[in-house]
Amino acid sequence: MKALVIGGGGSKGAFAVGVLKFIHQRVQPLGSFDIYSGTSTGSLIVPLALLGEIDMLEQIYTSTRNEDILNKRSIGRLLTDISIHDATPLLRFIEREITPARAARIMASPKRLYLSGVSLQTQDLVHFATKPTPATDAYRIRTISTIQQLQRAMLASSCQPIYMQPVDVFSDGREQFCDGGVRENTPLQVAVDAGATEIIAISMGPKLGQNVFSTSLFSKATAILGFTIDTFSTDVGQNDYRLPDFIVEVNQYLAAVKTQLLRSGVSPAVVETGFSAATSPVKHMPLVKIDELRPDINLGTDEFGGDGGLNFDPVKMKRMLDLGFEKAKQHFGNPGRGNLIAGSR
Amino acid sequence: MLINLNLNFLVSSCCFMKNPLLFLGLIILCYRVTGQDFTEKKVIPLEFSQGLISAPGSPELYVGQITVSPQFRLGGPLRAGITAGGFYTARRLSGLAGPRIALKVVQLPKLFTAETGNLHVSADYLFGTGGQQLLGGGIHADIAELLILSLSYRRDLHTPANWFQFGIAYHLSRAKIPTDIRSNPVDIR
Repeated sequence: MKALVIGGGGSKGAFAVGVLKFIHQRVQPLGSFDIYSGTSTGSLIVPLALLGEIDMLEQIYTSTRNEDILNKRSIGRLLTDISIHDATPLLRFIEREITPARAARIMASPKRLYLSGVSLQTQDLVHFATKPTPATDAYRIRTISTIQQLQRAMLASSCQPIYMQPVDVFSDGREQFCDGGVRENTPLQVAVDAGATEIIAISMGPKLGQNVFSTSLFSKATAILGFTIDTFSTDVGQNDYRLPDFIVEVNQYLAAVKTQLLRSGVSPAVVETGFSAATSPVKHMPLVKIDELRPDINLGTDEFGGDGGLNFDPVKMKRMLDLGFEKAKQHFGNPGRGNLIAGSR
Repeated sequence: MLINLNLNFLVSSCCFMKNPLLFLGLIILCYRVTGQDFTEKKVIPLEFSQGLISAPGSPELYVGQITVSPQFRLGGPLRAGITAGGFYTARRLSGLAGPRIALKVVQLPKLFTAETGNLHVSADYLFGTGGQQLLGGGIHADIAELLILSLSYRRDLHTPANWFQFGIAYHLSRAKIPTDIRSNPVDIR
């Protein structure tokens, strides 16, 4: 089973769409994955990716403006309101794009769709799923069953706390949800647990060693607060890959050992008996490959998506989309469809 | 003593406003350089201001004023509305009202993606119940949509006199950020 996992990043999602454009053209059709998982801007992308709507995604991520997403307000709202900005335009945007017809196709699809959020009441990581899925110690599953729940889950997953208001996805007055990136920026684990064997994962931040947060010394507390928030967020993003990477290594190791034993003349029955003598901790996680795609530079600068990716500028987004396309080209080479080759683990 | 110092500061600060052409030129210059849109569609600042009235051959008089100024964004950096309220001077209470227009001239730096405030200038023409005809305006610092600090100068065309005031205003009504965003009814066509 193949999974597509896309992390958060606001307007930096244009980078992910650039990657998807390449994948759709040269690797495999966008709608041919078995599992789709997204956080924040990734939650806005994956439902349309499931439908194979690459042209629509490209149009959205090269034309959306700030006013399509937020009613931007002043910092004083921290003292008087639930958030600094108002995300009402984003829900209206989602309602226009995820029409009842599209939503019905998404809900009826046999493919698995996961959109992540965090509960403000329990601090749980919650995956909104279109298909029943077992929960784990690491997260809860809430099954969504209506068009409005799907639209509101997409909104909740995108609402960065403090900047945008939390969302009562089920409109039952019991629980509010915010951006899943608070707990998991690139929601890989749910795809791993759902049985993915190969994952294409797209994150909007560069690798730790490539990131330069500031080139000058700090002299203001607000700048250091910004650094602290960014560091927490970066750390969450790095941690997302640790366990899935380890699972890949374990599965590759077990496969190599099996192969070696068979080549050494050990009978297949003995090998199978030996490996089933103790329960493998990765028995239900057959993941063997992750294609991790990230920009090589920080897209959170004013030149691109700005702080938190909250600057939606079509020109800058087109630039990020082109960066994503080039990154995918560099990563995958020029394979035929269905032949993932380079840069995988 | 403190009040006197403040009043002297007000007088010196507003001297440039005595020359309407200079004032107008300043507005145009500011607009050309940094004009940006107002964020709010509608504002209702409640302002308390105090200052002095200066007229040739008369002692300076203290004036205290409370006004409310509902204004609507016209598009771009302009908004317009009315000012209405009352003032106290020479042991008399009077009312005043009239039209007002405001122009945003400077956007203050952003903090965590959010605006921290703006500087805007205003012009108004207020009619008092005592026959006053106050023509003038002011410069205002809107601090994070919470408070507005103002310096204003008006000329009483009826009884030639100059009004200098310093004010502080609170936004009575702002577009509230909804605590829960409601879904639109699903269109099932």
